[in-house]
Amino acid sequence: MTIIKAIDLNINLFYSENLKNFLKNFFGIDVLGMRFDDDSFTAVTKKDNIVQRRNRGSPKSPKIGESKNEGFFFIGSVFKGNADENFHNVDVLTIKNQSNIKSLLKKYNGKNIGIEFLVSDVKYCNNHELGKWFYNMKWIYEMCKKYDFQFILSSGANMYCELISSKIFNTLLKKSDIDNKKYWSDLNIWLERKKRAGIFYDTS
Amino acid sequence: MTLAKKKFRYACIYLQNNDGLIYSNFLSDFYNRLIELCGSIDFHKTNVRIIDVDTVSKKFLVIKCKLDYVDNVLLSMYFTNYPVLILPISGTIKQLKKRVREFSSYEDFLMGI
Repeated sequence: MTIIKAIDLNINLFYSENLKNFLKNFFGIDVLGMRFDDDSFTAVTKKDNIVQRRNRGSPKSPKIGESKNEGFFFIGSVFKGNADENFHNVDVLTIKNQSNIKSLLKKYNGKNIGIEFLVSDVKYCNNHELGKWFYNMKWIYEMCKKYDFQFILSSGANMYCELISSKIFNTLLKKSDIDNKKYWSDLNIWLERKKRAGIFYDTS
Repeated sequence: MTLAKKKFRYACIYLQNNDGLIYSNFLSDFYNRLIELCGSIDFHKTNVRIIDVDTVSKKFLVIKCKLDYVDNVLLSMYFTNYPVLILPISGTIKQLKKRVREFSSYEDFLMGI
């Protein structure tokens, strides 16, 4: 039997064991995706449930003499509505503007890129925009399936109050008419595949 | 005809600073969100109530609602414009108190973020 893990791939807070334990025990989040300053990732003891995120353009390979124990990481970028921009070699694309998204999906059809939406982007929206966002999630999810992209919903938390529990994730998915079991299962499989085909493995 | 027993759930939120103003502003914002997001009929069906629980600090706000509508309550709480942390839903007051006690060990750490 495979264990389905709850995953939040975009948490913009400083990593600490306390944060990891809190999210695991209180919010039921098993895998965290975070950005790390230069060498801070090497201090993380258990890297299994941590996904290191890097922005596109950051150096992919370590410098000579630098530790190679970097674990697995994602290259991320932000889509702001311009489908002509080049997003090759990107693992996760964070969508900040939903216009032209269909052109983007068609252009990168079959590249297996993660299309990520941040809940923190809509937390302070008015009810009309929020309702529209819920409506859009469903058709974008269907489009992602059609064009072989992985739909990802992340908290994008910049403050502790923006952190989301697995229960709230499930509620958001339910309200968007997305089957949460299928969503988590697909995301787990996609993440495992990315790890297997990953750029770096921890050699320690 | 027998009436099925109504099941309730307890949602607990952590308010960073609980002075009276934040409390009342949060509540008004939360109710508005709930009404506008889910409609006034569902709002009344939710049967949402603020309850006072002994031994639970005033930094926490306990909200009781019907089980069937707990999703609406959770979403409306999350989408309010206040820095609040939503603790896991509890089925009983006893469980809620346990959660609040467990949360206290992380309180200082979270305030430092």
